[in-house]
Amino acid sequence: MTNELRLTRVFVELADTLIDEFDVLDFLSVLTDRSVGLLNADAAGVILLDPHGVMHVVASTSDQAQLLELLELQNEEGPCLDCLATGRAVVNVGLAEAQERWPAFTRALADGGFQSAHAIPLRLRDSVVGAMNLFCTTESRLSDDDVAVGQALADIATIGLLQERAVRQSGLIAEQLQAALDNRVLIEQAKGSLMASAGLDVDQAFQLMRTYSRRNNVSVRETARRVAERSLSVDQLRQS
Amino acid sequence: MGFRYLLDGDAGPDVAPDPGLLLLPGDMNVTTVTQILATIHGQSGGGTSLPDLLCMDCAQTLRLTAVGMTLTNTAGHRTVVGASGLIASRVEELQSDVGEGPSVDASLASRSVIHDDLMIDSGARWPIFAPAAVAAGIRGVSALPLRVGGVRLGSLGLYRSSPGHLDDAQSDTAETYAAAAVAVLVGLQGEATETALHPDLAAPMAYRAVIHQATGFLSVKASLEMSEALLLLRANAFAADRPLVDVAHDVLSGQLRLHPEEKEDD
Repeated sequence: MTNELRLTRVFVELADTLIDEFDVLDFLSVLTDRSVGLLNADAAGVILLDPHGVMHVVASTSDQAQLLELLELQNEEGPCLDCLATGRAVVNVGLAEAQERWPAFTRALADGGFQSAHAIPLRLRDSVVGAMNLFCTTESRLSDDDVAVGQALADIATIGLLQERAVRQSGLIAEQLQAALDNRVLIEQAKGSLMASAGLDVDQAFQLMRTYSRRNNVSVRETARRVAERSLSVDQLRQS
Repeated sequence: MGFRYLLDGDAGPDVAPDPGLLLLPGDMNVTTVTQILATIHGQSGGGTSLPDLLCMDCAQTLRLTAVGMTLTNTAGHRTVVGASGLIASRVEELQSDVGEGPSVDASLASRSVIHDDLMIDSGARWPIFAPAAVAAGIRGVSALPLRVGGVRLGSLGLYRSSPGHLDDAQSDTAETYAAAAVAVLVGLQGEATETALHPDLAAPMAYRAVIHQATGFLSVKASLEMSEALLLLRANAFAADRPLVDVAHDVLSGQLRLHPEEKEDD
């Protein structure tokens, strides 16, 4: 199978994951697995920056402790940290240079059985939200084409994260919509209750609840709930 | 997982989700949802709400007699927010009045409901709705649930004057309209404040507000639970063959007395 064909298949697979019962962790896990295959790496991981600038591992090809440590370690030094700082891919850094730039990271890399590491940014418009890290047991070099493929995969990861955010925002708004509908019904029922028990018209009933709510610093919704379940009498409302 | 906050709206760069990308369930055709949204947005501005425009567009595309969109709250109270025309609005309101019908079922059970011909085998399913809908000129019905994840928002009801059902391709298209309807509802409410309804959704709600007021009124006058008071209103509307809204008005104005005798609670 040609590289182009393999790449196309990966994109189709990832696109399917994006739409069908989307789970961001599954998605990133598939992404790291396929990245390793396409770019002849031996392990991969995705890290994201939190609002305080701390990196967190969100996906990796294995749960091997040394791999996770390698990823975490880069909060101090390593290709990911440099990648996040510059917004550019950090690839093909030779062993000698790596030892000089990231001595602790390079020692840990060797301890983990790897000889080289690459980092590709997860870009969102002008900022960098995280990075994909590739680890190789040989001193591998990525061609320009490889870097382009890696960047395309990283961009897909960013799309997946945006999708996750969009889905969760929709859920939040839908819940607000439900709550607003529930409130409206409750308030109308409470108005009706007051019309019956105090002989008020609909506007007076609402005014009474609103005044009480303001004075007692509770929401109109809460006042309406108490009126509807009759734990708040007309006299109490008026005395407030 | 500790990283989820990274995906929150206030963390990192602010990206407004493209309404066309919002929540497309299953194997939805993304382009088509986007196309529907583009079409109805293109027609908006003439005073017709987006939910109405979506229903009209859906009826036209699928050659249906009527299409209606209804919001449902957690207690099952319904508000018709969109209709392709008068019949759609009547058939949807009818289901809200009698508390049964394909839209009610779709919204409650969160699944699609199909009935090919209301003149056949519909008596057990919808004893009140079916004959009334037939009288309004409706034979074939289907209804799709509108939901976002686990949140049930309501239903999209599809009605035709002849018996039969949508073929597979049409069903897919209907599903796409349901996804677009969700995007419209979420999009509208996304523009509103957290606790209030968007005006396009609040205005239709005002129409049935009187029913909830009469429910509260009756619950006090007859010492009933809200749900029992609503049933009493419904039973009266059904017996008198009148819209629930009319009965509610009469109860509030004192023209109609449904409670046996005056009771003073407090």
